[in-house]
Amino acid sequence: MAPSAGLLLAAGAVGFLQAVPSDPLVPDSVVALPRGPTLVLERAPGLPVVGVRISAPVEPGSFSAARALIDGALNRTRSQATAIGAALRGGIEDGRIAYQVVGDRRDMDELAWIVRRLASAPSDEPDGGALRREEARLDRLAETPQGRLTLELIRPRSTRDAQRRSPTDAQRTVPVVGSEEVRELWRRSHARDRLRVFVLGDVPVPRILADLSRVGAPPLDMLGVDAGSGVPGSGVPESGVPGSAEPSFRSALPPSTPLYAWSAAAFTLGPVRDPVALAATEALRAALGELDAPRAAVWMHQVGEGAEGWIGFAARASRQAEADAAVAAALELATVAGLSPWWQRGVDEARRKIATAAAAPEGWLALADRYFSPDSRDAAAWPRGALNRLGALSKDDLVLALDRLRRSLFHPRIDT
Amino acid sequence: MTAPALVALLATPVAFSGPLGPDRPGQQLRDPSLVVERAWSPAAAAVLALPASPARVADRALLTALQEAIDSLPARVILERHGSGRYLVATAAPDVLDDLLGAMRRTVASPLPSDHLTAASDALAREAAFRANSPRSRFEAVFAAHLGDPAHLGDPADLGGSAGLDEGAWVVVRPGNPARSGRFDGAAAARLRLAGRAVPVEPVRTQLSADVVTSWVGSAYYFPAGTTLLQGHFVRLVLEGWIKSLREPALYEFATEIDAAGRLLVRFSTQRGDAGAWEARLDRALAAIGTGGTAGLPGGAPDARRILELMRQARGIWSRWLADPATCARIAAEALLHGASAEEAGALVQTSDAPPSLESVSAAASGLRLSTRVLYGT
Repeated sequence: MAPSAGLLLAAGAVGFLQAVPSDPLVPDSVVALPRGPTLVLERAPGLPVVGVRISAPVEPGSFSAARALIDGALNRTRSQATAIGAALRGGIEDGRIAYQVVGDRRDMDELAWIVRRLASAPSDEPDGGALRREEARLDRLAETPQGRLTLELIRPRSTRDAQRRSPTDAQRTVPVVGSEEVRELWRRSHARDRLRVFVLGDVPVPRILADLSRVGAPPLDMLGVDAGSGVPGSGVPESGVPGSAEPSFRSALPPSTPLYAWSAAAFTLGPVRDPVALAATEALRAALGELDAPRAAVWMHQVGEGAEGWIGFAARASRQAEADAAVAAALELATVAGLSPWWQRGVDEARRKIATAAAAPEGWLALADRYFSPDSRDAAAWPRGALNRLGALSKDDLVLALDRLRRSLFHPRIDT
Repeated sequence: MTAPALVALLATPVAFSGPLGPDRPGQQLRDPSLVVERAWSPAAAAVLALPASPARVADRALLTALQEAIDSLPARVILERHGSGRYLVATAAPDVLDDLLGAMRRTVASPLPSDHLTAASDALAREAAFRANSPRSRFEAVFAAHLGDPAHLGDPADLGGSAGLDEGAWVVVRPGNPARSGRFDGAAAARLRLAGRAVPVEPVRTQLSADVVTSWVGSAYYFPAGTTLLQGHFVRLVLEGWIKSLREPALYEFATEIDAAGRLLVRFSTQRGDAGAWEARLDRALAAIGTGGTAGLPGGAPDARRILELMRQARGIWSRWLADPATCARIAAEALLHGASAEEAGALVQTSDAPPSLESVSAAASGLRLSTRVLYGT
């Protein structure tokens, strides 16, 4: 367990946090500040930039509100980041709201200010532009079968299960978001004791504490919410936002697409942070490239927003039977016999993705968040843990991933 | 070169005469021209740089062969083409760097498989046919012809690659002890100068009227003698920063680069009828950078305060480029192609703490001389 910053500071042990750099794929320190964010620090001597990332948990039912929240945060900070030549990005990644900024290390003051503004409260005035853009985005998605598959993949599990039991048009809905939901999401997801703050670069720890220990909203216990619920490590799934209301939905009956028939399947091979799922996904992608479906076009579709790693197959053909047959053929690949020839390639591609993504500071920050652990010495965590796990995979792991597929498989209707 | 000529060039049966072609196997990759070691780096990068050339077939076949050779490694290789050269950029986990370099050596030393060459030739011919009649391709062909440099025009008979490894450069960036890469030598970076060249007093301006909804403009400028590569990069970053900050919806694209001849190339596209106004804006912006914004130029050119802000923005972008091992290696390799010594190229990629002064950047911009400008459209 990582020592708390309070203990370290009380002991004058800041030097501990600036330990000799070792493996760049394992952060130097993880510090859970009392009633504050969890800091993940990687010193990176000689790196000419500093990268800062903040992430907050969000459940799939709040993705629309989260996107509006992120849109507003990026709008109020973009010009500041541009002014110092910093790279700014924000989005929902792996089931978390994530913002990050990377810029020249001499601009640390500005970078910290940008991060504080990113995580600050949305304006009291509703950001009509952000809400309208999100609504337009949902409308666009609902207009096409491929877009409706995306909506199915990010739909909360509860409503997805309901549809599976009773796939009626009335339940084929997309979420509606309002400005009050956006503010409420910020209060709960950005409570500072739920935030992770990653700092990559040669920055003195006291400065990090001064700049970033008070980001976000007040801790949950100050809002009268049980601080233990939904907090990482508490046993409650951290993708859940405690106390949030069930999202409201509006109907999105899809228009017909008379020219083509569509068929789809959706499943998960495991959470996105699971190296087994990553390798199986890459193996499946490689296998699908060789799929023989002459009368249909088949897509494999992933949405990077959720943590559950949902994957979709969509097939388009002139006849419904051909589309259904193409999806069935794609699913036949997702068997031990179908994927075994591609398994090693999947493992290699997964290793390649992690190793090369970590090269740039932007990628390092995202990977550190994906493979986060409350303990910096957790050998199974962090990008290094993921690479080690990939290096030790066997065909038995493929069986595990395919079992998850079978248990999660359903066939959403994405056509009329 | 006209677009049909370009298509014909790419559709011609392949006759590989370049050193990377199958008729001259045994090409050996020497030791890297430059190795940069960093105290902290989660990845290593290796860049094989070759002089600029329109030849693409051998490059693409070599890329395919390299991708196959490193398929089982946690490594990736891509091909980048810039006006300054062609770059095979590999990124890898540090613990497989030796394997990666070995694979690169073996691949380069081996004849390129004929099926890769055929596939590359076919693919390029298809792409060229697809783009042949597009206005953008026509503009690029005319602009390349006006640049009048073999790097842009090439020889239709030489599809295999116009230059070999002897004229190229190989740079490796890896984790290690920075002291082994040498201490930062500002004087070495300052010695890395772009080639200055006398240009006609009257620049050549060519307009090809065409019934297109988008107009393209390409301009080539020579830097004054004594301009360093670092100053040249900052001139283009400040210029790009200014033009893009205008957020004009009628300006569709704006891009700059420094080509193999050391020229600043500026390309932009805009809506029909606006090209002339944007040419004037571009010239005013460069003039304003040349005076540090103190000349009080009319028409929305950046003032002194704004140019200082743009210098800071450029510094941030430059630092981000150098932070990425692959981009850092590519920049060093580019410097080597410009004739830098290993010491000078190594110094260039350590300049994040020593950006050029505003005065030196302004001096470089003020001495820019337009040599040719091509307008396609109206």
